[in-house]
Amino acid sequence: MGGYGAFIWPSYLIAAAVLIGLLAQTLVTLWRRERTLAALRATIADSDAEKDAS
Amino acid sequence: MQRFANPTRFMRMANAVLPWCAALTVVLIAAGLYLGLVRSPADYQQGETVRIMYVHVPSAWMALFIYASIAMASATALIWKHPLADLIARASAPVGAGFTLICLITGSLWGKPMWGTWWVWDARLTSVLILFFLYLGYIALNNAFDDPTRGARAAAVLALVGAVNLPIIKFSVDWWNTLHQPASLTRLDAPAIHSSMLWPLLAMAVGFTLFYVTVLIFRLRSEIVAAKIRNLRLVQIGG
Repeated sequence: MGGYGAFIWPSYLIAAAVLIGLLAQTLVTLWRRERTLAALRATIADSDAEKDAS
Repeated sequence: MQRFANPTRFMRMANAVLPWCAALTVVLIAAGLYLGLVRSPADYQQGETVRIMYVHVPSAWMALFIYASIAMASATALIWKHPLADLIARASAPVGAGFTLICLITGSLWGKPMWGTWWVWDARLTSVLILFFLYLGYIALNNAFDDPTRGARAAAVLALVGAVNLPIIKFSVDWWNTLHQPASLTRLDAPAIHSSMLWPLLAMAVGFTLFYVTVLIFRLRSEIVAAKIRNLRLVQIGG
């Protein structure tokens, strides 16, 4: 890299870290929210079933 | 336009294009990296440091493009109350902030060997730093209210006011004396860049755009799930 590797490689590594970090944060948040939604739906379905039974 | 106002219909279409966007993102960024790091020549003036351009310039374009998208989505949300517009703006902001951060850091890493300094308070660099703060302000304001509708409205107003910074960034190199070079590609005459450098630049730019679309679809899906959670919690509280 003509003696400029100390400037070029960090540019690419930082860009990769930011983009991969963004994607990972997005997917983890989506996964957590989908789990919360599924748990919430199950709780509501259980309480509805209890009401119907009583 | 109204056809896509329905989130379910919009997400069905978005989910259909998602695998294609994700695959093309990987292919184009891989091609851009190969062409930019291996095949393209060193610049006759800047030497090997010109390779920073393949990540710096597309990031700068994305920073501006995403902010312009947020401003348009905010205007659509404020004027026509489009149900998806607020979500698109909200979901775009962290991606735009990420690209602006990449642009600032890689610009600094390019500036040190070429200008002899990491940073200078000139018009281009300062206006891009202001853009980064606008993104952070937009995200903070959007999350500052218990009622998401109020947060979205306040953030939309900030996004529209901040849009005045976009032409300042674009034309700062023409209006003021600056260390930053003027536009090489987006000029009225032919681009002042050889095709051996143009192709990797375009591959990275389209790859970054498709990365934005891919992440945006995931984030929109996440925002819609969050809205469903809020509604179900209200139903639970209501008994």
